[in-house]
Amino acid sequence: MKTQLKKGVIELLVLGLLTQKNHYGYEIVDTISDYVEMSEGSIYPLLKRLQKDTLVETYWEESISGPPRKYYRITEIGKANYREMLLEWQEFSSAVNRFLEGVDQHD
Amino acid sequence: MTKEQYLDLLRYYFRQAKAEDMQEIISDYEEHFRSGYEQNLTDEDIIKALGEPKQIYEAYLSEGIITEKKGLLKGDLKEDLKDMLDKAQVEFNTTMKPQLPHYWQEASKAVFVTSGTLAYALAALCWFITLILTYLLSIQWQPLADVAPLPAVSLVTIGAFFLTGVGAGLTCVFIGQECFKQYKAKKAKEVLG
Repeated sequence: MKTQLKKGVIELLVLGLLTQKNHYGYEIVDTISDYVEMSEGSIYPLLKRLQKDTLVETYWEESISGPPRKYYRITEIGKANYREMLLEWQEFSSAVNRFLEGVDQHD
Repeated sequence: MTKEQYLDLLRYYFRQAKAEDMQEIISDYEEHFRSGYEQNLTDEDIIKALGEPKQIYEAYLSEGIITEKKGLLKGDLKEDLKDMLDKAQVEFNTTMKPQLPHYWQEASKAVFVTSGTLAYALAALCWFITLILTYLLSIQWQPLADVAPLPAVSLVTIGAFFLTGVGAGLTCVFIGQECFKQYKAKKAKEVLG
């Protein structure tokens, strides 16, 4: 899969994951890599950019083992952005699917 | 490759980035390794999943989080200069200054006091000489009887001379004031630590 498209999708997944619950970096990476194949290391720059664009914010929380962990929380702007992106994605993917179904039938 | 080697490679790629940015980035990946260990993963498993350090660096570049700074002319020139000055200041304070004998550390303060005092003295001298010369010009003082007297000096010339002298004195006073201001600032800094 081309990386640009993948990058956008992963952003959607990260925001979606964070609308449910706050997570620390590794949890986000681990959950998403179960569904999408990617270099796990590239999630951190993405998270950093989301933070810079104030879609997410971070805070520290003690962990049972070892030093505190950096947690990510979605902001109101992030939620609004997510809804918009989700709608775009649904329109886009259903259009692509409709098209591909048509291609299948012509086989 | 071990975790340390991996992080060293990351540090290598991020060497041009701002120190605080690099620190934050490295600490994210350190945390990632710690969390991986809790899932009983080895360094090798974690590194394989993370991907190449170079790719990670490129991802940060393309997200626009770090900007590459290779020379003075790249990036923000003013920021670079400020960076350089800050670094020089810190380096002086941490490496040079502790090595200097005590009286050298005091020197800058002493220099300001001395130059300030000198400037004030010069101002006083300036005004004193101006007054005397203005007076002598106005009475057309002629101490040597056998020398032809100077042509009469007009009132305008005397006035201009007087004002020049006063101005020179004022300049000295301002210089002195600045010196003492610096001295006081330094002293206040010392008291406040």
